[in-house]
Amino acid sequence: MGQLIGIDLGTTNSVAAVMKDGEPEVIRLSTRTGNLLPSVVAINTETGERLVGHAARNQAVTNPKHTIFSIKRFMGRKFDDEEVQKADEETPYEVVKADNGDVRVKLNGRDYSPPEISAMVLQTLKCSAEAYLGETVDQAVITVPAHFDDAQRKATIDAGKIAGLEVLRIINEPTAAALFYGFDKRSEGTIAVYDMGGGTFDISILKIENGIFKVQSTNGDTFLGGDNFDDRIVNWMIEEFKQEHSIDLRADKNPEAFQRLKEAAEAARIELSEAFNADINLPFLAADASGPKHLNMTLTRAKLESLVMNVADDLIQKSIECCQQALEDAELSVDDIDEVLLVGGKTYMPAIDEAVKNFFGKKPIKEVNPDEAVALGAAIQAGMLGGDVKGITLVDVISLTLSVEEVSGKVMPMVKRNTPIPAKKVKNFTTVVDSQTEVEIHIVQGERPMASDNRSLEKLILDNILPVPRGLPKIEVTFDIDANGMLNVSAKDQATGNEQAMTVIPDSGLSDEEVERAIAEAKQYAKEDAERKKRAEAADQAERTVYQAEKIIRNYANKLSPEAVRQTRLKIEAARQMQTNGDIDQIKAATEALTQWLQTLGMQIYKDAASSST
Amino acid sequence: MSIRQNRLSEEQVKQLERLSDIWGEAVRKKAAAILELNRGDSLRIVAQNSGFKEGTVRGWWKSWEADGAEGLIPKQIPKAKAIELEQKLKEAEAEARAYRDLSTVDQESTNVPIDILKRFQLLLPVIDDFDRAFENLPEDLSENSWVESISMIQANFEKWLGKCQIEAINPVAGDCFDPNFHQTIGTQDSDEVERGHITETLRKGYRAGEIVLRDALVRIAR
Repeated sequence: MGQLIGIDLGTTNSVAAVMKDGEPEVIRLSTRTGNLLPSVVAINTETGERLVGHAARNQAVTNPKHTIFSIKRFMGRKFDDEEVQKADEETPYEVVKADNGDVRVKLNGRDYSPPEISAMVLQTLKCSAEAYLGETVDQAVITVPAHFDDAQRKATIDAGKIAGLEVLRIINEPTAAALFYGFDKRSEGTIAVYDMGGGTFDISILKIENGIFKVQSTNGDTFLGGDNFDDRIVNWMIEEFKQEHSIDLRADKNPEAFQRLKEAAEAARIELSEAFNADINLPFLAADASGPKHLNMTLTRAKLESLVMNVADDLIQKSIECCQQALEDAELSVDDIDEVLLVGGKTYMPAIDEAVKNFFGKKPIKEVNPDEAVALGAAIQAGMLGGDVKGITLVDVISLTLSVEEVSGKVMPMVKRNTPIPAKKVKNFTTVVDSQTEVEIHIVQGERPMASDNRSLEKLILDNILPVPRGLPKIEVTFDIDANGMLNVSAKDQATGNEQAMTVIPDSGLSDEEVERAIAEAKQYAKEDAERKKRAEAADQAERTVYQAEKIIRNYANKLSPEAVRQTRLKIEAARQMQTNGDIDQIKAATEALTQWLQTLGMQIYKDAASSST
Repeated sequence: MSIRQNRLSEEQVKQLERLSDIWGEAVRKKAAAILELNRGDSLRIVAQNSGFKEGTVRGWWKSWEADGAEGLIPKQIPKAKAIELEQKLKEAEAEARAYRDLSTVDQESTNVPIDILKRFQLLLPVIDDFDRAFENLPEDLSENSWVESISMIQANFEKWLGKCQIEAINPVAGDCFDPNFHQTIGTQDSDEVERGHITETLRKGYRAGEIVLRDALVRIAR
């Protein structure tokens, strides 16, 4: 059996972590200083090469139609969902409707399901983890937003399967963050986790007592996030600069300057959550006939507040309403909350600090790395499942109510939100007309009173019922919610004691066959990808050697014989040719020949120098 | 003297551009004058720019025609230069040794701990500002000794980066776009550059071995 890791599969970035020597540790990416892998997938339409992470993000501007980002917004969704339509407006890539009404995205002429795209990100994290740990990784705990419904959770599990990972558990992101915080600080008491991401918001309230982490309630909003904050700061800088110098720094006019403004805006926002003023100095930002122009501004907290007022007010107000609801659901008051933990990439914002402080009456804690806390918590949960972490128990809750539709169209709640999971609920069904041989049960998830306003999960048809007078058959249906927050249904005919035949018609998601096919494709691709990677490494080695060779010719032009220079050039050319057209072995051979030659050359130069100096 | 425009090969132009790496300011001026003549500037203008008489500049050209790079460098090597050369040769030997190591050692390894590399990342905007400052150097300050000393500080900084195994990612026009090291922020029309290849680097990137500290910001040809 391979290693077990924790994964925060994010909308913008994803992170993996693992338990090592009893402590959770983030898995470092081998080619970057940071640990965040951009959740971006692309295909180079000319070479057919698949790109994931930084490489995909790096070419997004010039390949927008074939670069998929924010796929998490489409996971387990229907094409006609309001959220999908809203998200679709912001995506330059093509989003289409599948035969079953699900979402598909187009990539290089092919339709991909959101789990297939997410699987590419997961597969990359899996490979990084394997390289980092030096062993196979085949099981994972993956986190999802607390407000993810059954279909969204199932889609996440499918993504894991396609990537070659058995998903042992799905846990809620704020729960994972709390798990890490509680584990790390050995903290006890009631804590609220305020999780503001770029596009989504979650709040969870947990009680930690004697190593038992029990989620009391959870709430959130899928379309509430701090992505707009930095845009506002950038626009302000652009306007000020334009007024002073009459130079337009917008992305289409001056992309390099725009990039610097974006980086400076984020840095200033983060600085302002501790300080009252942030100096922004960007020398040589642009130039005109009169010479170079610099940007030198001070952003104050007051100015920042005024810039984001409309966005922030609305956003913060909505997030506080979610906090209020979560408290009510947990039957707690603000005085019962011992600590408030801020996580998520957008929590560094003075207005959020202030609002959270005003509502909860205490200063929020920002001790955990907001980008990594969720993955680290997932690793702890993985450690608990793998037996590496003992003395901790996690009791999560179901975040959305599960109901069945009544004849009137109203819902009949079966398992209410914030019920601890795993949970089981049994209900008897019967026939409403004489000789009725089947009963249809429509299961929905959500908090609205009418079934049609909630998320439809599946329809169950209980058939082969004996044709007897109505009301006589008693069919016991069991709703079983597992630790992942997912529903499993079974039925039993009470009269006969037989397991009732039942057909489940899932309202969305991939069928088993589709998942199997995707797994096979992903495996094939992983093989090809490994080959491509090896070739790219060999080509890179060739390029470095060529660079060194050219440097030597340049620097010692007058110390090398024309024949030596000619020989070097020939070998450089051969290495270049192979780098472009050769296979791995040919590239390696050409590089090795050049390396050997350079060694000889280096020694010769050194010898000549030694003899001429004596 | 007949100086035809663009008679130098691409290789010769590169060689001239890099001569000053070894020989410093005096040779740089000679090389710059030859390049200007090659671009088609008149002898009078080139002489004016270099601060030497027309006859002197003509002499440089003749030397170049006769002996190539050898014709431009001092016949008598000053002692300090000889020592520097010796140093460079030793470096070449070290480089040669490094290839041997490179072929056997895992390329991903860098001796610099990741936390230190993260701190270097914070310095990159300052290094960029140095680059921009010199790109925007007013002409009348190009010979200013105070400016030269600042340029030396920049050079020392770059040298120090090299010692820390950090190298710049600075592709030139025509290079292949590699999304593992380059981030594109736009496209532009180009007659010289193949579609999808780099037309210009707007901001240098940096790497330590296989670890990318920052991608180079580039534009590519459409």
